[in-house]
Amino acid sequence: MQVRLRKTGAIALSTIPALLVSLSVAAHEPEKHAEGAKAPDCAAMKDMDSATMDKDDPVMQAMMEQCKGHMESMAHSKSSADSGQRDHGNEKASEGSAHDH
Amino acid sequence: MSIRKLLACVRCLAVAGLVLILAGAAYVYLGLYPIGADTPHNAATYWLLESVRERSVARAASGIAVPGDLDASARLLAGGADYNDMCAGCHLEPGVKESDFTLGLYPAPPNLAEAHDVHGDPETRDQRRFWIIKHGIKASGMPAWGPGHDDERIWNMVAFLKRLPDLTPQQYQIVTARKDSAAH
Repeated sequence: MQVRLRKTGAIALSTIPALLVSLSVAAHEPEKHAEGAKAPDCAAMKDMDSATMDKDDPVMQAMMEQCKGHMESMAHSKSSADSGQRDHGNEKASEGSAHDH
Repeated sequence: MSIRKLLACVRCLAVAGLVLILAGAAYVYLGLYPIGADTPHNAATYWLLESVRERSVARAASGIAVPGDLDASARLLAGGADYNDMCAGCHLEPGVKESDFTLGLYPAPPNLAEAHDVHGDPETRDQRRFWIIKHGIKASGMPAWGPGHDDERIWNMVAFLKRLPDLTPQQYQIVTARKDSAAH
């Protein structure tokens, strides 16, 4: 009788946590939706009218947060392109001055 | 009026009531009410159901405390992604005018991407939206999201709904995308 009760207790102790875990897994988890979800189309931000954008607007802040990495890489590639152009311009100028001599 | 006349009147009213109840029961049990979602309710049924819904939601939602930070951008991001996954199919998104659900559900789900909510002041609207998202509406297609979502997550959706009508399709796409998506 005592063995039977112990067995029932053990089954209950192992079943209840398992049931709770399975219930929590069945809930709507954001990670499940992340699989196959579309990434933010940050390229569209450059077509937006910056004059109408208010940096204090929560929508604008949310967009900046979503596209932080994209904007940083854009700024980085722009600055390297600018410096490349500047170097290229300097080379041309020095070539020109060499010709003058 | 004599007592005899009064008794006759009461008896007459009781018989009329009984006849009405029997007629109503026959109407229900014979399956005469058109229950298909493609046949609108008659005006009386529509009024009754709408009044029951609106009065019930207003009473139940009236005591809910609204968080003071519903305009935080973090709430927009969290609520936007959930809205896109769970709600946009029925309640639409900027630039989309209809879906199979808006065409087929009855009553048609409201287009939340358009500014049309006229239910009282902003606080009442927030309370109402929170309650409806959490508890759902019987026999309307609106599920109760409360069992699988905590209150904070539901408030995030309420926060997103406040700004949804202001968003362009491009803004909507960026704000509702899940940043940690596999496609990223």
